[in-house]
Amino acid sequence: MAELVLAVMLAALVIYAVFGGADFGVGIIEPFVRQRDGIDGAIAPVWEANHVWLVLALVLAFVGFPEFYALTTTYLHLPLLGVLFGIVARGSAFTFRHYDPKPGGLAGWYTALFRAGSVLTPLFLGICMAATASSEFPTDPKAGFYAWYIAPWNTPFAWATGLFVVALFAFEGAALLSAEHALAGLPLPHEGLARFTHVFAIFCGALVFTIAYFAELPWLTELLSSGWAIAALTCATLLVPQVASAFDRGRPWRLRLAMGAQVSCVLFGFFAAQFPVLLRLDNRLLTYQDAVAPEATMRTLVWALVIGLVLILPGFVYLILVYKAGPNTRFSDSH
Amino acid sequence: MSNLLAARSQMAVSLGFHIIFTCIGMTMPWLMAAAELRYRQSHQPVYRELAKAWSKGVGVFFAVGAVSGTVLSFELGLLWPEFMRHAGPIIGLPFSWEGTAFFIEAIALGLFLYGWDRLPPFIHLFSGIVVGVSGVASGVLVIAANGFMNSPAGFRWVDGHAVDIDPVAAMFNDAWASESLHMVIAAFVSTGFAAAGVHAYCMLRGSKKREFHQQGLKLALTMGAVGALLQPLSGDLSAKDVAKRQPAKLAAMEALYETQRGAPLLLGGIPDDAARTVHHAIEIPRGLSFLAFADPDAEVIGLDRIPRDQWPPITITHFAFQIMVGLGTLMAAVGASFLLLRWRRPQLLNHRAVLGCIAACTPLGFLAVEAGWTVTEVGRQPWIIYGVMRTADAVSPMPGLQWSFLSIMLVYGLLGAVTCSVVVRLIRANERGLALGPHEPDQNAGELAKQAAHG
Repeated sequence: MAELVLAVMLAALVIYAVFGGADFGVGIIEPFVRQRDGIDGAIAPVWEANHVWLVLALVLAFVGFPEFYALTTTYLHLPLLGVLFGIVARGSAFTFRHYDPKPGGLAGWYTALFRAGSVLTPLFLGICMAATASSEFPTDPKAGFYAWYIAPWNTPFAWATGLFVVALFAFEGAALLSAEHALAGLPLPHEGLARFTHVFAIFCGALVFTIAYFAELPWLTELLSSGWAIAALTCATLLVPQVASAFDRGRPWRLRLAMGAQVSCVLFGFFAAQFPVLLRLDNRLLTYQDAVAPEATMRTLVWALVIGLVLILPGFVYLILVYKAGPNTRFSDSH
Repeated sequence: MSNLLAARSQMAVSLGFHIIFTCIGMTMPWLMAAAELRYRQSHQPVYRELAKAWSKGVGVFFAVGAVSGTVLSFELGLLWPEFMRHAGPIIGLPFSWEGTAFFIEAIALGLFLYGWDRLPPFIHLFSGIVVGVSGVASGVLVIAANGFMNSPAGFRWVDGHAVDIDPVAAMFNDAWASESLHMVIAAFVSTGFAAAGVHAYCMLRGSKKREFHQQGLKLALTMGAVGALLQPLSGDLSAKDVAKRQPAKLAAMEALYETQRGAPLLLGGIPDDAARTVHHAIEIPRGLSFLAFADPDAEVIGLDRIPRDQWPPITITHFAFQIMVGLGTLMAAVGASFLLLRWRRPQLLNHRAVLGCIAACTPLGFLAVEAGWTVTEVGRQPWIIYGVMRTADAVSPMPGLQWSFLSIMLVYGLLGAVTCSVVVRLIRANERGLALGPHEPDQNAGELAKQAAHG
C-alpha cells in the first residue's frame, strides 16, 4: 500500500516535470525565441492546471507520509517559498498577458515576471530535490538558524541540481514549441535552440555528477549500487540519439515521446537512488516505512486515487482527442 | 510581531485572497452555462455573448485561483507543520478528492473556453455544467477539512498522538454539512451580486450594449437574490450547530460575557473584555436564546464558563459577525426588492436609482464572505483543532516568519490590484466590442481592422 502511494507520488512529480516542466521551459527560452506568436497557444488551453500534479504529490505526501511532509516544509521553508514565488509570478503574469486587452506599460512587467518566475520555480524545485536526496538535516534545536534553514540546501550539489532542472525544463519547452509548430515535411522549427538546450541539459547533468563525486555524497554511491537507478539513467542516455534523430528527420511526435521518456528516466533515476530513504536526519534516516500514515488512511487514499482516476480519465482523453489529435489543429487563439 | 501572529496573518491573507477566486470559480460557471442554455433555446445572440463574456471572467479567476490554491497546499506545511503531521492522515482524504474535482473542472473549462466551434452544442453546454458542478464540489470538499478543525472526528487523541484514525468519519464530521451549505450559498450570493453590480455600473455609464447588460444583470441578480433569501435559513442552521458544539465561539460572536437564561441578541456594540460588558449595543430581549436553541428561555453559555486562556479574540469575532449578518440582511432586502420589481414592475429595473443601488452592492457579498470566515477562524482560536491542538503548538519553529508574511502580503496586494485592473480593462474592451481574450482574438481584431480599412 505504502509502495503504491509512493509510486503514484513519484509519478505525479514526473508528470509535473514533463507537462508542467514544458510550460515552465517555454517561459525560460522565450527571450531566445525569435518567432513568439505561438507561445501562448503552446501553453494554453488550461495552463496553470498542470500544477494539479504538484498539488497531488503534496497531498499524497501529507496524507500518506505526514512526517516527511512536516519535516520537509520546516527545513526547506525558504527554497519552497522560492518555488511559490515563481509559481505565483509566472502563472498570474501569463494569465494577465493573455487576457489583458490593453496592458500599456504593464506589458513589459508581465513578460519579465513570466520569464523570471519560469526560472525561479525549477531552480528551487531542483534545490529542494537535491537537499532531500543528499543533505543531513540537524535535529539539535540549538544548531542555529543557518544550520537548520539554509545550510541543508545551500550546497554546490543543490545549486547544480537546480541549474540542471532549469536546463531540463528549458529543453522540454524548446521541444514542445518545436513539436507544436511542426509542419508536415519541413524541418522542425526552433531546431537550433532545442538542440542547444538538449546539450546544455546533458552538460548540467554531468556537472551534478561531478560535484557529487568530489563532495563524496552517499547519494552517488547509492545510485551506483541501485539497479533501478542505473537502468533508468542508461535508458536516458540511450534516448539521446533518439532525440537527435527526431530533429534530423523532422518528427514532432517522436521528439515529444523521446523527450518525455528521457526526462522521466532522469527523475526516476534520481529518486530511485535514495530509495527507501526519504530524508536524512543527522541522528537517523527517515525511510518511507517510518513516515507512512496508519493503515486505514492508506486504504482510503488508494481508493480515492483509483476512483479519481476513473472519473478523470474519460474527460482527459476526450480533451486530448479534441485538441491535440490531427497534424495541424492548434488552439484557435494561436492561428 | 510574534511568529504565531505572523503565521496566522499570512494564512489569513492567503485564504482571504484565495476565497474570492474560489467563490467566483464555483458559481460563475453556472451563470455562463445558464446563458448558454438560454442561447441554445432562444438563439438570441445576446446570450451567446454573455456566456462568452462570463467565461472569460471564469478563465482569469480560475487561473489565478489555481495558483493561489497551489500556494495554500504548500503553506499548510510551511506555516503549520505540526498540525499537518497529525491532521494530514486524518483529514487529508477530502483534499485528494478536491484534487480530482479540480482536475475535472480544468478539463471541462478547457473544453468550454476553446470548444465553441469545435464541440457539438450539447456537449459544450454539458461541459459548462460540469465546470460548475466540480467547482462546487471542490469548495464543499475543502470545507470538510475546515469542518474537521471545528468539529474534530475520526480519531482518539492519546498522549499527543492521534490513534484509531478513521478518515471517512473525519470527513463526515458534524460541522461539514451546515458549514458547506452556508459557504456554497454565500458564493452564489457574492458572485451574483458582484456580476450584477458590474452590469448595472456599465448601464449607468451609458453603455451602448444595453440589452447585453440588462440580460446579464437579470440572470446574475436572480441567482444572487434567491441565494440571499435562502442564506438566513442556512445561517440559522449554522448558528444552532455552533451553539451546540462551540459555545466559546458563539459567546464571542455575541460578546456574551455572562452565562444566562433568556440571553438577549446584541446588535452592534463595542465589547469591553476588562469590564466584561458591551457598550452601546441594541438589545433584543431573549433573542439569542431563541435563535441558538429555538427556545426564548434556553440557557446560553457565556465566556464566564470558558477558561480565560481559551477565549477567542472577542472584539474581532463580534464585529465580524455583526458585519456578516448586517451585509447579509441588506443583500436579502435588495434581493427581495429586485425579485418583486422583476415580477411586478420590470420597467423600473432600468431606473437610475435602482441601477445605482445594485451597482453599490457589487463588493458586499465578498465582504460578507471575508467577515464570515473571520468569524469561523478567529472564533475558533486559540485552537487549530478545536479542543485538541492549540494553534500556538502547530506553528512552524522557523524564526522570522514576519518576513515571509510581509513578502506574501506584498505579492498578493500587487496581484489583487493587477487582477482588478485587468478585469476593469476586460469590461471596457467588451464595451468597445473588442472581444479580446481566448476566443478567436486575432480573427476578431483582423475583421475589425478590415472593417476599419474598408470603412
